Amino acid sequence: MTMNLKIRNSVDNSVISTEVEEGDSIGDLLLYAAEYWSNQKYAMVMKVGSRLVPPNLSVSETGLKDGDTVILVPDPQGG
Amino acid sequence: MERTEWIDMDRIHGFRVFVAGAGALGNEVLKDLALAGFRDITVADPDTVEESNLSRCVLFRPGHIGMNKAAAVAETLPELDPDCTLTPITDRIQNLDLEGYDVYIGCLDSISARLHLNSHAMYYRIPYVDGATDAFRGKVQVVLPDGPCMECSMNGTHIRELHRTFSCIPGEEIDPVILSSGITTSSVIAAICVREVLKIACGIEDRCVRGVSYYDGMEGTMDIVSLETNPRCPNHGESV
Ligand SMILES: [Zn+2]
Repeated sequence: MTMNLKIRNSVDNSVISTEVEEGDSIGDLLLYAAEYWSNQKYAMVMKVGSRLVPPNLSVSETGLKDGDTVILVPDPQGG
Repeated sequence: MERTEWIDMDRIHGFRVFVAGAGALGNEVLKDLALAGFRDITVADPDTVEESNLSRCVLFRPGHIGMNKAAAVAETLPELDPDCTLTPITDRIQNLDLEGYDVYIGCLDSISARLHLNSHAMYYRIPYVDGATDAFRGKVQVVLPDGPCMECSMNGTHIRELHRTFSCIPGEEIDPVILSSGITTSSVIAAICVREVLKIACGIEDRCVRGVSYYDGMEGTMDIVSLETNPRCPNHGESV
C-alpha cells in the first residue's frame, strides 16, 4: 500500500512530499531526501515526532500514516 | 560543587577518563574535567597545533604552534589543577589499547573514528559520552553498555561521509551548516559532556540523558530525541 509523507528539512524548513510504500525503509527515505537536497553534503538523521528512528525500520513499523511529516536533521560530526 | 548531594569527590578524583581528541571541543572538555576535579585523564590526538586553532582552544599557547595537540594540553592543563595528571598520547585511537578506562569522551572529527570508539565502548562495556559540533549546532550522546549505541541510528548518509574529516581547513569551501564550531558551541557541548561524565563517575548513570541531545545555537533550543537499540546493529547481542 502506498502513502504520502512530507519531509521537512530542519535547516531551512523547506518541505517536500513523496509517495512511499509501507515496506520502504526509513533509510530509503533518508537517501531520497539527501538526494533531493544534494547540496547539503553532510550526515543527517530522520526524526519522527521525538524519536530518532533506526534506518532499517520500515515506514509502517515506525507507525507513520498517510499525510505525516518526518523531519530531516543534520547530524553534527565535528569536534 | 561538593555540596551537591550526589557529587562524590573521591570517586571523581580516581575516575580514569579517556578523551579522544584535543581540538576545540577537546580543549573545552579537558578544562571542564580539570575544574570539576577529575585527576586521572588520558588524551589522545595525532594532530599538531596550528595558528588558526589558538582563537578557540583555551589550552593552546602561541609557543605550541607545530607541537602535537595532546602534548600541548598536557603542558597547560596542570595550571588549572596541579593535582591533575594528564597523560598525552600522540597517536591515533585506531592504534591504541583502549582497555582500562572508566569512561570515554569523544571529541572527534570523523564518523569512522567515532565508530571505532563506539565499538570498543560496547565491547569493553565502558560508558562513552560523545560530543559533536558544527557551526552553531551540536549534539551529545551517552552510550551505556546495555543501551543503544552510536551506530544504531547511523544510515547511508553517514556511510557516504565515513572517512571525511569535519575540521576547518583554511581556504576550503565548505557548507555553512558544517563550518567549524565557534567557541560558544564548543563550550556548551563540552559542558554537557562533562556533566554527563560526572553522573557516571558518581554512580548515577541512570540519570544520564537518554537518547541524543541536539543543540541548536541559533534557535537557542535543546531537543532531546529518543533512540532505540537497532536490532540489526552489530554492536548488540551475541555478535559482540
Ligand atoms: Zn548499536
